[in-house]
Amino acid sequence: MKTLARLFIIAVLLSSLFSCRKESSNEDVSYSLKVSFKIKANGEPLSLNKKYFNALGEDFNVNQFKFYTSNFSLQKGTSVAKEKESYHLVDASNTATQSFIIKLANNKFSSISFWVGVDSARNVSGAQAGDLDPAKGMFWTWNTGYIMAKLEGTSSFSTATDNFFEYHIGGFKANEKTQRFINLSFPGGKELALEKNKVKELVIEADLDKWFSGVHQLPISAQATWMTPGGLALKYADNYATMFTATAIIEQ
Amino acid sequence: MKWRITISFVVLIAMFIAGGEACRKKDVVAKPTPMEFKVPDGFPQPENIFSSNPLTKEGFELGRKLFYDGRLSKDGNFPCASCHQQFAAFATFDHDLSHGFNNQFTTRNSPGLFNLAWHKELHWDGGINHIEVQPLAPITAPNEMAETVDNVINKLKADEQYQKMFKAAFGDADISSQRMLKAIAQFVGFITSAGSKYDKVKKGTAAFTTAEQSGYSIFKANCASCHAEPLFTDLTYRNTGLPLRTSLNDIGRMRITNKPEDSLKFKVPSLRNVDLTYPYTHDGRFYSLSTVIDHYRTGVVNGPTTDPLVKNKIPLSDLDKSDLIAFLRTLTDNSLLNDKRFSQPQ
Repeated sequence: MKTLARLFIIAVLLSSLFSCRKESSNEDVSYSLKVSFKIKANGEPLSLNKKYFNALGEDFNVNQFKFYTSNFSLQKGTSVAKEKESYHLVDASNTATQSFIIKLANNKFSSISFWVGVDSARNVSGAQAGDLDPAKGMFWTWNTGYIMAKLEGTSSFSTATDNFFEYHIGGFKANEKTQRFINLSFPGGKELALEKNKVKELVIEADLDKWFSGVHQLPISAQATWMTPGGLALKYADNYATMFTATAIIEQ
Repeated sequence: MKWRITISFVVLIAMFIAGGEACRKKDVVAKPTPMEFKVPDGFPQPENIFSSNPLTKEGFELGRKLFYDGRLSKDGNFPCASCHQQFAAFATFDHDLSHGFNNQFTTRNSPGLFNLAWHKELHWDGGINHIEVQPLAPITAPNEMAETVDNVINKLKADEQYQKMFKAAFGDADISSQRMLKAIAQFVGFITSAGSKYDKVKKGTAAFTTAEQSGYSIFKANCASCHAEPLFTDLTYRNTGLPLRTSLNDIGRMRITNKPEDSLKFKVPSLRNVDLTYPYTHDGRFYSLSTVIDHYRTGVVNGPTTDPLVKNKIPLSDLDKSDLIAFLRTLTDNSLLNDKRFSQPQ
């Protein structure tokens, strides 16, 4: 009888070991960083449907401003921590999309990098979910591919119908790439150190003024609409690549 | 002996209890039944369309229901099947340009849907790079189904039958655009046409008539470099010398690549089931096989991108033409037209 009881216990222990192993991630992602985008125009937080001026002296009102950020990674020297499944659509009309927590395996960093836009692989891999869901309105259905950034509004300088301007910037094929790599050091050149069970917030400013003049001068009067890959899309992409600055690290 | 049986029994019960405790799940759903995609004899390897979208009976049936459901369109009148009719090899019977929402026309002729698993790109201009995302184009086009993705998903979510079918196909009742698109891709990607008289002749189970045999020789000598066997398309884009129809101003492949050398190029259509898929060409301008062949005999207009294979026209006698048509009719696949797996679900 004793033998029986022993067998019973051994069997229970063994089966609990093997019967239902949970999928364990092979990487420890115990550090959390909150990334917050603050969209600005003319040096103040962007308000939709308010009049601003670009550096070319043109007035503009924004109805819609959205852009993809993806493939976040933080690094120090050769040590790199990447966010998995890293796709975030930032929408000026929805504050909930402007902040998100990313999970990381390391905790000491000297810079953050990400892409504006969606990598080529996800542009050719069929139906996607989450922030890449085509229902988000950032997907070209007639010429497969994501719209990396979208800016719509009005300006008295626009020659289009009802003074509208509409920029849907995308393209991922060779010579049409509009994804742009962003690498930012932290404010004051400092290091970012994360602790377990504690969230820090990194504030990244996105300066909309750069859309029209970051690298190339792209007046609304010359081109009020652009909605295809190639051509001017590349210049708008060069411009939006200059929008970003890491401005603060906030202890939560 | 009895002792041993008792021990085994105790061990079994113990393992059962422990196992049950360790991973009791809230509700266990039956796994979908895998379905096999068969590559017909003599066909090349298809694109890998089911590698990230495992083909299952439940997924296929869901895709089939979606394909025939008018609720994917704004007013309920335009399911996928409105322009892709099974009796026309999933092209549109007798329409030059496809019809859409609010009595509108599209600018192109609806192609037959079969053997799409071999197509890396879809549409006449190749603008779609994956079979899963193709339905987004007709669903959202204002002159086709004129609906938004969100509205379609909300309509599906409100339907109990769909809740059941999504759960059966994907393991839980979540209804998303991704799952809808994957299900449609399973249905449409599965449709294969390889059961024509031509295929039977190739297998040795049927014989061409004299005219068909002669037509096959003419085909191989004059048409097969673009309409390559066994798909009867080489999947490239070519300008066949059709003059630009200024009312549509359709520049074809160039709209996608922005390259002038692609101006007026369109995807080479498969000639399988060609007797059923009239009218022909990207804008349905020819209503009979005879007029298509006449175009190659006498109508080709040469421009900077006209294909070298047709720019000198194709000299065919009237007898050649009628033999060629006799051969092309052997490409009709009645098994596809009558396959109950592809018909409107009851």
